Amino acid sequence: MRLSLPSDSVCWTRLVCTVLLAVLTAAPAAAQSSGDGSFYSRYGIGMLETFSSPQSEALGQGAFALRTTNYNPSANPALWADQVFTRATGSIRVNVINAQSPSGESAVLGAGSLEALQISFPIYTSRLGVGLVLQPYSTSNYEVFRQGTVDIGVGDVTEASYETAYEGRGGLYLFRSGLGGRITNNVRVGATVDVIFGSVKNTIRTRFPNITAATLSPSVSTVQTRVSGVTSTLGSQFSFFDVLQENDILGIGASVTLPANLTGDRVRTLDESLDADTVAVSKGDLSIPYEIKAGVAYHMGERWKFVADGVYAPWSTFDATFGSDAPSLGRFPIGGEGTMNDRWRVSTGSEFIPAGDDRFQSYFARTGYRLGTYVEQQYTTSDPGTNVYVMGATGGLSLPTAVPGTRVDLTFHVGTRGATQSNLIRDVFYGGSLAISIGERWFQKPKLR
Amino acid sequence: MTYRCFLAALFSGALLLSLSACDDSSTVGLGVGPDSLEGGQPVTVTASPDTFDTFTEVDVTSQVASSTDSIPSNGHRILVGAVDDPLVGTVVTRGHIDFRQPDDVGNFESIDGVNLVLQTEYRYGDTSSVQTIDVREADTEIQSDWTADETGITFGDVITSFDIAASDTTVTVSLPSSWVAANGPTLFSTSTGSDSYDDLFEGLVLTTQSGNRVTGFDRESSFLQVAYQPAANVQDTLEYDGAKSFTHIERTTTASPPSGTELLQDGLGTNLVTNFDFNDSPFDELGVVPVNRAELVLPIDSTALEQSTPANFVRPSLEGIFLRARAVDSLRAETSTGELSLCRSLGLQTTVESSCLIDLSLTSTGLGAPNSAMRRIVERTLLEEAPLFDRYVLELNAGEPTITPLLLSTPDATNENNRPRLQVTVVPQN
Repeated sequence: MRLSLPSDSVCWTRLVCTVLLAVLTAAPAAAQSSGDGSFYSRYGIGMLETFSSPQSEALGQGAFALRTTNYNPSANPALWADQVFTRATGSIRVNVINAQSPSGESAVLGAGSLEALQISFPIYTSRLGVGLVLQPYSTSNYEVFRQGTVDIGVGDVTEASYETAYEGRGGLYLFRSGLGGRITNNVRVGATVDVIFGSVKNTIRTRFPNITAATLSPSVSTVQTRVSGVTSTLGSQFSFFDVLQENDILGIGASVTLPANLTGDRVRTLDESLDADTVAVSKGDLSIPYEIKAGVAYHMGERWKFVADGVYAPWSTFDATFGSDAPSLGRFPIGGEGTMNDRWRVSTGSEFIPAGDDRFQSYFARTGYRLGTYVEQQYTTSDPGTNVYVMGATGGLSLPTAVPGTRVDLTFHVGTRGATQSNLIRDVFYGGSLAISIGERWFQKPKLR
Repeated sequence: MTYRCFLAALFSGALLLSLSACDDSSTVGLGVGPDSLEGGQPVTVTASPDTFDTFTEVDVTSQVASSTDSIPSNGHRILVGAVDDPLVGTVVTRGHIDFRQPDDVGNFESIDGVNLVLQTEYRYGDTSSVQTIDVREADTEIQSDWTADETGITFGDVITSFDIAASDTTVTVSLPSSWVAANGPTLFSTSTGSDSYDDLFEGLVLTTQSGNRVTGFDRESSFLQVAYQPAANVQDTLEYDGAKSFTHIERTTTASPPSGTELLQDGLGTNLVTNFDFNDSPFDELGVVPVNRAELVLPIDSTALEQSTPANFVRPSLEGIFLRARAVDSLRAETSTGELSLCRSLGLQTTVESSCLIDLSLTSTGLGAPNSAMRRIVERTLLEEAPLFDRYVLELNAGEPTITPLLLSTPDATNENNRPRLQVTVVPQN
């Protein structure tokens, strides 16, 4: 087989360089995200990220059984078997949170973040595909302020006001690489190697706004948890054709991510940067439970798609061995293991493309219109014994381009998390994401010259 | 091609936008404090000293120039007089001063007169009365290691006496002509050996005759002024600068300080040793925490001071107060320059007895060690979970002889705010 680069190879070279550069820089940059996220990212290992593909995002963040050639969904590697194009996908998201405490205090938080960088290509078109994914696995980006006064009794200064910021920064990343292959026309399987790595920093930063540092020095205390480990995800997809009518497809898919044991250390430092003093170190492990994703997808002709999905992960079995030999590190997870719950999630969604596969219809007829909804029991809670539920709706547009296989996806989401009851925070969140999925036949001999 | 490049550019831009968006996100605070938030609320804890005792370490009050060209920069004060302080008791001082012969001394035809010129710089006692001081001839050479309680020093009879008011700044005492006639030629001796100026003239001694006041004279600006005629009908003067000095200090009667106080006194060497037990409450409950402030507070019993001060009576301000923190045995490693590594790491000056020097500030209510030093000491002590110093010595020593008292409140003081303490503001983490 003779490899043939596209004629505009210079442009592609630039693109690949850009993607590689982004891959190299995205992790550390995103890990330094600011305190613009949910308070619940304080617990566990942060807020879990669920991105699979732009299409999945708009369909209730599910679509684990939905075959597609326009995306490379990372949730189920069996779906990589259908790759036709060499594909690069990048997605960014803007999220706004209106957080409300039981006492009625509220704050509006918002920022952008990287959702994923994905590259995939077929080894054998529509039979065997390779996928590479780098995306956040969890994000900790809360920031909570406490204000008060402290009696210091220094000369005339008997009382000083202080402001303490509790900050969470960083998170874990997932690098997933694997294969998805077609066994028969009805059966697809996939497997990945997943490397999970990263660090979560919990910082308590205290300052005294109205008093000079010579009188009362500001202080910073940080506990950084750094872990890494390897696991694997196995996926399968079964397709049944002409079930209810001609040209329809019923898909059933599932994936299982095996339990992971992440090893690393927790380090407590006082002060920052060059002045930082390490005051405690503890090595340990944390166990991430298995996660099952399963779904049903129904292609009703070429115009309608319906999905229904579920996720389950027994996070209540989460275990961490840090801190037992260094009490000053505090508990991990924060709040104790009582803050961990089993996670489950149910979602549904539908997609409608008026033109189906007809490329000669109008632009808006070739646009995909998507809606989805979900309900989730979050894997963490700020009040042990009380579950935190997340309910949301998603939607989006999949905009075609002049290049077959390349689409621009706009996705919107809105939802609520938690409740305004004792020890819980209610988040009302909304936002959108922009994803560009570029697909082109690559490394393949053109049929026509 | 153009379209794909546009997409590539858009894609790249989106990625860059996402990264910059992450970096530029605003830090919005929730302003809410769920109960699960632990730590982070500063608290101030107070520790009492577990040691708070006075001890006596009499100061060296003599100073001798090491060479003919050098004049010691410290210890250039002599104290003269007796003061009866209702708070302290009676303290009697005696000043010795010796003079350096000028290099340009030569022959003389006649000696017209000798004046002792003294510059005052310290007053302690009754300011309304005149103090009378006797001038005597010394007969013992001042040694550099004489302490204030040195015994066995003899001196001659009274040469002359002079009066000094509290407001006087410069005193010129004309030595009697009989003394000039007898001793004047000695001042011009250029011989060596037993006939030399240094062997024949050991200076003067100033003792108190009357008056309830101690006066300090600056040796550096005091001198013997000799008026003479190097040749017939030619007049000139020579100045013999003060080169050696010594102050003898003796307490003759003792007053009892009020209960709940300790009396420290410079010169007599009454100092304080104190310490804090970092293994005891409240430090043992803090763990390793950031320290925002640490202040050593040593209150003065200003009420007792005021009440015991007679009319027209002045007690000078303390001139030099510092804390000498002695390093524990395991932290006495020195750098190549001879400093204690511990002191250097804490930004402190190394001093005697493997100690770090902490300057203290004085206010009307008490003494305080600066936050900059104490914060580092306390934070590092908590960090290493072991004390850095085994004792803190409070010394009244300005380098110049004084007899200035200090009335410190003790841990037994009835008013809690008057007790010595170490106040530490920390941020507990759990």
